Amino acid sequence: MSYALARTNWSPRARSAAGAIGSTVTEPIPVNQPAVSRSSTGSAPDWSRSFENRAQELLQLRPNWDNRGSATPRIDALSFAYSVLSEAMAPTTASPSVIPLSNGGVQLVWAGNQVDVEVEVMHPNQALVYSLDHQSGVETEWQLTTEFSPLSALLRSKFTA
Amino acid sequence: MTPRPPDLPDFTAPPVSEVSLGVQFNSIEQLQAPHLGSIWAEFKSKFPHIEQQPPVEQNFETFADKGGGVPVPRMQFQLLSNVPVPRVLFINDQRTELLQVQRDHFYHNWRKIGEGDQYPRFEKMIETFKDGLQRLDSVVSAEGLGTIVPNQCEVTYINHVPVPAEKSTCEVIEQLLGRWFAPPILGELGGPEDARLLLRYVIRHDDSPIGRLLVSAEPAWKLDGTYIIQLMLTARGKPRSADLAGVVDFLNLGRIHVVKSFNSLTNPEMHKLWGKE
Repeated sequence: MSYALARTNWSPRARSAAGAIGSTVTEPIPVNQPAVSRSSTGSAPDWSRSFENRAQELLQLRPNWDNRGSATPRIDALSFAYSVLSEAMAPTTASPSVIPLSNGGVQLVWAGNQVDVEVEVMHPNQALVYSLDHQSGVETEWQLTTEFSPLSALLRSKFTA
Repeated sequence: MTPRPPDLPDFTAPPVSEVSLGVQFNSIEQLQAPHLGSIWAEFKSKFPHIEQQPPVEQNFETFADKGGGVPVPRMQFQLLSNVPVPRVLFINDQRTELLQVQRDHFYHNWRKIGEGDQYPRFEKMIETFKDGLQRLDSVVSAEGLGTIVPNQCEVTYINHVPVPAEKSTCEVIEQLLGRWFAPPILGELGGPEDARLLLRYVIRHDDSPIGRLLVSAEPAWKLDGTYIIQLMLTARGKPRSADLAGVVDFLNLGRIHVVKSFNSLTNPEMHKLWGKE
């Protein structure tokens, strides 16, 4: 038995209203959290932890980090990339490599035996998805904004245990 | 001023305690803390008081058909830049209206401070919001910081329903949402001591998902010690176009969903108390 629960496991899954300041005049009534094991309650997927660690690393980069004049990775691009992963990934989907782009965006890469997938996030609501099927040689590109069903189907069928 | 939609339910004494209209935009990386002073100068005559708060994180409503799979829980994800630029609150003399500004968000809030404070109504608030966003955009441009590119919008109504001394919070939630929520009675345990609810709905346009409506009801207390049920409704999503018109369109749509959902979810008996017209 371990006290493995992150507080977030017991927080509402939907994010609350960011701009509301009601907490200045009200307080929610707290509920004591039980000390139970991770296996019985679920926890953050492994890809979530690895993405967050990598994102924090990228935010340490300075302008011109590659000596080619590249911009610092932007928080909004990283936040949106995380939102894409949350929507498109199953809990057991393989973690992507997270690569900074010269324009401050970020690229997510999955390399598999059958297919490679890349997602370029330039800004929020702007994701370019590219896939290459190794057997057929077929390359596909989609421009996605907030609906990620095609990407989800691909990742769940090819990169999920 | 845009007129109120005629088919929208209306209440003369709604239990609303706070309303927030907001937009999230692509981060203005050039905006540093000293620029917030230039921005305040634009609003200081109507909002002479200030507060400083940590920045709120970015939120996105995204969608995917998960093929019947269980959605992955959204974990809290907070990225910290090396030197976070704060969120500043510009507050009016009555402390009931405020603007919130940070490098990727702009909000206009109304909040009830005293019992006599009247909700100024959405039609007035959206005008203040539009004026504020245009002024913010002007300052950002004049300072050479870039442009505001909206990526999400949000409208929130927070309602407070008092819990009388002789009632439990669960009884009040049942009184409030009784058409949809009946607390289970469990033999010798009786009814639950309290309850909290969270509902999520997808907002669609032309069959495509564009946002979500979140509804929560939970026990809380005011800082004066009064017990209440806090019923919060938030509509959040992507504007149809990344400009002021797109933002206003979404806020209007979100407000309609919030008000209609409030009317549908709450009990007609309560509507009489709130003066439904």
